[in-house]
Amino acid sequence: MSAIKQTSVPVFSDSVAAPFSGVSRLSARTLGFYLALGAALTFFALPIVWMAGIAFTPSGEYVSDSLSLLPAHPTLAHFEALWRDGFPGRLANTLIVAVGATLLALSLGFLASYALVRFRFPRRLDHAFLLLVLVIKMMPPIVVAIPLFQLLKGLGLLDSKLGLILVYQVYTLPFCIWMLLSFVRDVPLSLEQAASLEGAGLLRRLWHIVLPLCGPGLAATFIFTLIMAWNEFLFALLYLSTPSHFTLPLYVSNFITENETFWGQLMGIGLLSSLPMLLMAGYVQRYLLRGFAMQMK
Amino acid sequence: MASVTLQNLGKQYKNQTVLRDINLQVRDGEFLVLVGPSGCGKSTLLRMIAGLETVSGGDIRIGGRRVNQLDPVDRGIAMVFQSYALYPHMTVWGNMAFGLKMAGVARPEREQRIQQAVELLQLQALTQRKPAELSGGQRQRVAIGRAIVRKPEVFLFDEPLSNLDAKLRDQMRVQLSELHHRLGSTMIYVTHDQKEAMTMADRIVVMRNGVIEQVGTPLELYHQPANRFVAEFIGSPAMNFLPVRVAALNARSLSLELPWGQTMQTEASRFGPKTGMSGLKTDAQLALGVRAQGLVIDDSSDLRMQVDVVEELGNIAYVHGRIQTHRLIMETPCAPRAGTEVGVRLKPDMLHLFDEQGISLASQMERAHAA
Repeated sequence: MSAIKQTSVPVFSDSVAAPFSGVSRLSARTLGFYLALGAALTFFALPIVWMAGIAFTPSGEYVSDSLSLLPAHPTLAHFEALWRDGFPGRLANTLIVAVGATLLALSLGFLASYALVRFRFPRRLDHAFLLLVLVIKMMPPIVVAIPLFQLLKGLGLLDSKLGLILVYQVYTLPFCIWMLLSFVRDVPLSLEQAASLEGAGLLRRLWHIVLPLCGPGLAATFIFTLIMAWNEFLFALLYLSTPSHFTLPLYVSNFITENETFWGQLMGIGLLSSLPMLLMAGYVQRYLLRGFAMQMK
Repeated sequence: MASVTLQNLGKQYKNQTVLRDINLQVRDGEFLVLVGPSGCGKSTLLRMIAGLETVSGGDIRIGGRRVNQLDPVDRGIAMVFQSYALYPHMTVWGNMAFGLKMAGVARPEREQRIQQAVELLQLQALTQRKPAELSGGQRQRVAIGRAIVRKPEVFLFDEPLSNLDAKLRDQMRVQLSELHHRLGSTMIYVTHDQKEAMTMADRIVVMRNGVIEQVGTPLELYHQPANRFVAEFIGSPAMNFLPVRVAALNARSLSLELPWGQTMQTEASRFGPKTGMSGLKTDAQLALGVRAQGLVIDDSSDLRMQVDVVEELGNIAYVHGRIQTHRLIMETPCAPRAGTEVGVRLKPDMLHLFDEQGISLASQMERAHAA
């Protein structure tokens, strides 16, 4: 009994003291954490706030010497000008091309990565294919610009959305294949075997088992590919010629002229064109995080 | 329900032979256990029956029908995987319904079958849960339920209890045996655990290095092991082996010289040598096998065993000891103290003899009789 008493006292006093010291340590740590978080947030948010500020600032005001981020006399004039100038049409072009290119790349990439993971290829052709795909992804775009131009011309797809969607596959498809590869690999083979024992053929297994289990991976890949296609400039510049067919990155370049840079409109487009991406990223955020986590494994 | 027949079945991966010349008849309604150490080919054999592995040679017949080229779904089998292989994005109900949907079973019948399985396996409270929200034992039951609803002719189990803790494994073993009695289906069960094999099987198939070593009821395998491998593998604790020499031999008795010099007499008929039959001759070197239960404490015996470790299990104790340099394990109801020395006697009716190739002399006798 005495032994128990002797040991129980210090144990008890330790346990009483612990929460207080723990709290003080914790709050110091929390404070540090929030300070760091605030600093990081300011660093990343500043350009966006600045962009938003200028988008609402009257033309005369933003060239003044004032260091203020926010406008003294806010105005929607730049947005009205953009609206009249045909911004909605360009936004629609960009949406169609970016979403179209992304969905096409995602569908083909998913099937390709499934085949590469599950099927056996003779003489390691699968490895050779993956390497080839990577090489294409690493090439500077200008290298393939002329052959692609010839190809599009031959197909009669120059200056068209469909042409641009196909051309974007040069970049989006390798990205999708490589990114989805690890997600498909993570689907246990035994699940597919169980499904095939239950009568599910290849397509049903893909649809009912593999696709849902790759959901987070598909969401993450979707958003990255979409951003890639959304911001693409060079191919759009080379293969689109009619102004009404322009995508936003191309359209935005119109506002930098020899004589003047239209900062207000420029920032207005920047703000409007980044909004859909921000919304989309916010919506699929939880999938994105899981996607990142799986990629890091 | 259906019987399963394997004829000269073989499996090769490139240059490696995984299974050789497998001949086996699984009777209708039988609970057959394939047992053997890791890598012996038992799981491959099961997967070949399921249709998940191709057949390199020979035939598989289920219910008399040759199924070598049939897709898994057309073989009338259901399989429970070691990893359970439950679809993580579907609920318990969804997991059970999937196969029926694929088979085009109408909704009312589908629901009725699932409901029956849910009640049989006591999963009522869990039907809307996802597999991640279930314990290991519950997942196991869902996996079994998924097999049951399809009403297969043959159930295949691939080490289904190996991911469970010991206590749960004991419970599930009993539940699986009960399930077999209620359904009366043919079941083929793969395990590396000889205890599972002994307690559940109607018949056991012991495999090693891609061949069948012996097929028999649990008691046949326990009392009449065909060779040293089966004798060592079946039964717990493992059988003791001692090198012995045939000192004298006649039609009625066999005299064996134990490694520490003494000789012991035993009935020759137990081991079958009307001598010539097994080619047994005087001076032949044999291995004498005796289970822990075949050793008894007898203070009058001049075989003295040094007691090293005593494992008390309550009703019995396992005594690990040495006679000279030979290590032995003995089962006894009253345990001696470690560090002491006890007299030991070998029960003559519980002895097994194996020749230099490890073949049991008794089984050689049987084979000779059969011939």
